[in-house]
Order: sequence, then C-alpha cells, then structure tokens
Amino acid sequence: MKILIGIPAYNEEATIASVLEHTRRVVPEHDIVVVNDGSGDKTADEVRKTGVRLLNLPCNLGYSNAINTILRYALQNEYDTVVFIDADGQHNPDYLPDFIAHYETSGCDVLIGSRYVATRSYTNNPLGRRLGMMLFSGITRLLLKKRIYDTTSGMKAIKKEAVRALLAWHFLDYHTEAIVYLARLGFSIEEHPITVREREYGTSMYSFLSHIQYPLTMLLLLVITLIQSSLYENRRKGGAA
Amino acid sequence: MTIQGVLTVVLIAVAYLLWMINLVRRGRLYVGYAVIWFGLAIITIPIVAIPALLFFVTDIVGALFPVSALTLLAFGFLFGMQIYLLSQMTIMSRRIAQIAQYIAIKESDDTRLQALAADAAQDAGA
Repeated sequence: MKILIGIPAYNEEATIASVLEHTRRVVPEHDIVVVNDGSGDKTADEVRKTGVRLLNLPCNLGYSNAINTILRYALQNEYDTVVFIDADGQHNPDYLPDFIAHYETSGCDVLIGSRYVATRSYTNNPLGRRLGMMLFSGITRLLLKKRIYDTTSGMKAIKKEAVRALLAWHFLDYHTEAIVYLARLGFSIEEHPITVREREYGTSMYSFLSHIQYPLTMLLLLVITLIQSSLYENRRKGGAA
Repeated sequence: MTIQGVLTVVLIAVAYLLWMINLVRRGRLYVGYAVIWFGLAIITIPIVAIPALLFFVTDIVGALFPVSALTLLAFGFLFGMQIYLLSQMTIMSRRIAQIAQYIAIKESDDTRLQALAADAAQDAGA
C-alpha cells in the first residue's frame, strides 16, 4: 500500500524539523510531504534542511486549503492512502506504525487518531473545548447513529476513494463536516486511541473569537453538508442506473 | 407590525437564507459570511415579530418610532458589513498579487533552467 504522510504547517519553525526527523525514523518506508501555508517564519527553510518534499504556498490560504493541497498531491501521485499529522509536535510520530497497522488490518476508509475514544470522556480539557467536543460528538451520534468521540483530530488516515469524494466538494477544516459527509456517502469511519502533547511552541489556529464563531459556522455547514451528501448520493445512484 | 407585515419579513428572510445555503453548497459563498446573515435573521425576526421587544429596542436606541430604530440599526449593520467585506477584498487582492508575483518568478526561473539545460546539451554534443 502506497502511503503518504501529509503535514500542513504554518509558522512551526520550532518543531517541524524534529517532527520530520522523528517521522522519517519510525516510518522510513512511507513518503512525507509538508505544505508550508505561507509561513512568516523559517518553516520552509527548516523543511528544506531535512530534504523532505515541500509544497510551498506563496501566501497563507488557511488550514483547509493546506489539507486540500495535500489531498490533490496524493491523488495526482497515485497514493492509496494519506495519513495526516500536525506539524506542532502534538502528535507523537511513535504512534504511526501502530496507527497505520490498525488502519490496514481494519479495512476502514477513514481512521481517526482519537484522544477520547479510550476514556470516552472529555475531562482534563478546558471548558470551551469540552463543550465543543460534546456538541459535535453528539451531533455525529444523531446524524450517523454512531458516535465519533474526537471529531476535530488532526491525525487521520484517509483512503484514496474517500480523498476523491472530499475533493469533489469544499470543507471548512476537514473535521466534523468531512466526517459526516464521508459517513453519509457510505465510507466507514473508525477511531484509534492516541494521546497528544500540549502545544509548546507557536500559536493555535483557534482564537478566542473562533470559540464562539466556530460552533455556529460548523452547525450551519453540517446542515449544508447533509443536503450536499444527499444530492451527491442521488447523483451517484442516478449515474449508476 | 401587522401579522401580514411579520409574515412578509419572515418569508423574505427565509428566501434569502435558502439562497445563501445554496450558494454555500455550490462553493460560491464562504460559510463564515453566511453565518453572519443567519445570526442577523435570528436576532431580527423576534424583534420584528414581538411588539414588546420591538418597543424595547426602540427605547434603547432612542428613536421615536420603531421603523426609525430598525432603519438606524439596519444602516449601522450594513455599513459595518461593507467595511468588513472591503477588508476581506483587500486581503484577497494582496493574495492574488503575491500569487501572480510567485508565478512570474517561477516562470522566469524555469526559462533560465531550460536555457542552461539546452546550453549544457549543446556543449555535450559539441
């Protein structure tokens, strides 16, 4: 199975080199690509020093466009699966061999590295994050009859066919709405337990204002995702017929 | 406001919101912008529909008539939206300029590399 490890990066000069070296050490058989999303620091230079393939966006286009770039790259280069991890060191690359092994044996289309599936609890998180996780997890249970405990994990393995489906539309950040979209199209989604480290360097893409705006935006987008996935499915069935 | 008036406002709001949902679905409107208008609809419809709320807002704003209050608030919102959207357009314009410059530099580099490769091939042939 041809696997691509995809890492979106924005202003992560402090951690990107160590993440890449560590990833290359634990999974040397897989290709790695980094998308530098118009960083204002030396992220691109740090990636070049490691010799890892770099896709250098000329300006900051946002997380979803960075992910989109990796998905397009994977499809154009005929990878069977894309595995995403974060560039800020929160995802320990030591998890990758087990994670990929589980993905290959389970046969699922999307495997999420989940911070909460083992404990089924959101304690030890700030209140805002706890409420958000409970809200979106509850929504996935309502819509999909299956609970996804970690809907905003940046660690995911996505099969080629699911990549194709994702590129057929547009997403805010490839988290909850992408999970709902793929599940509604019949792709199987599972979770694999991981633990994450707290960010030590750089800044999160989620600001204080986004804690208010993000849930509202995501709720609206979920409604639209349901409509779009139904239309896509009808179109597919019509085409098959 | 009469029931007919409230129904008119609600129907127009619903029509606009459905149009926005379709635009977002087709990738022609960023969902973040649509949320602003949905938020406005959620706030405005109760104010228009509930007379006590409408008079309360009128008093807060300091207007004599509810229609004046609503007009003032609408203008304020539209001016704010215009400034916000103009700032978004400025950001997009900057990005387009950056991408255009990047492409120009890349094309120049590619042309130079092709010329060097052609020279090297010629030297090797000679």
